[in-house]
Amino acid sequence: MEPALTQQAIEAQPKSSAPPAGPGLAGDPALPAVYDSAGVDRSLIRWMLSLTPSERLRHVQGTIDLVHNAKRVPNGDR
Amino acid sequence: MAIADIIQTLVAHEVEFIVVGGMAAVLQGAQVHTIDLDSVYALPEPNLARLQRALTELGAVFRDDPRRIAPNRSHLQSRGHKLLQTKAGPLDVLATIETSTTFSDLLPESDWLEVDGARFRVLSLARLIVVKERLNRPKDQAMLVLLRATLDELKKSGP
Repeated sequence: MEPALTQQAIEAQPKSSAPPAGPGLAGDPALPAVYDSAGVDRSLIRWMLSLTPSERLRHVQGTIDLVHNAKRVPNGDR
Repeated sequence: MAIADIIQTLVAHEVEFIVVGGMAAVLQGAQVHTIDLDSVYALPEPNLARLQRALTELGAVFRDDPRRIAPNRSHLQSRGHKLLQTKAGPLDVLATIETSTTFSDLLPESDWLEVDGARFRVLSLARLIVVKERLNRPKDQAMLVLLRATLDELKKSGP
């Protein structure tokens, strides 16, 4: 049984370069299962496996750069 | 500068090394989070010289040491873990992993990968799983779930 996704969780799903949605989102039983019994999102794994090692490294580096460059915005500037 | 630059520099200096840990998992498709590069290096003297030249080019110093000490040959000869900060990011150079597993021990269980033209070895996903099972720390348990799922997906997708 797939865990139900809340609207917040659905909205939190990565956009654009994100992996394709599975039945947890699309409700199509013909698509491969998204979550396994340990709660692992297999669609993310399948997406990572579809990339080359260079692309995987760039993805990780992009995440590191994003975190590195993120700055807190002072309350007065919001 | 980035993780790829560390790999490119090690390869350019013909250092014999195997990428292990979280980055080896990421490079083979596992969805784990890591920001450093862990590598096990070959212990023969000529490789230590090549490694030291690469580390000098990368501006490597011991992480969390305010004296900013650069690793020397004696450090590289020791079996301890050298946790370094380079101008391209964190780099851990390991003489051994587990209790006393060396580069030579891991060699048959490593695979070749290529990133931006640089060819290097990574520890196989199956062997990474064994390493994590032996460590059995909470953080390794969390990663194990993802590594096993990734290996399962790889087997399903065929060679």
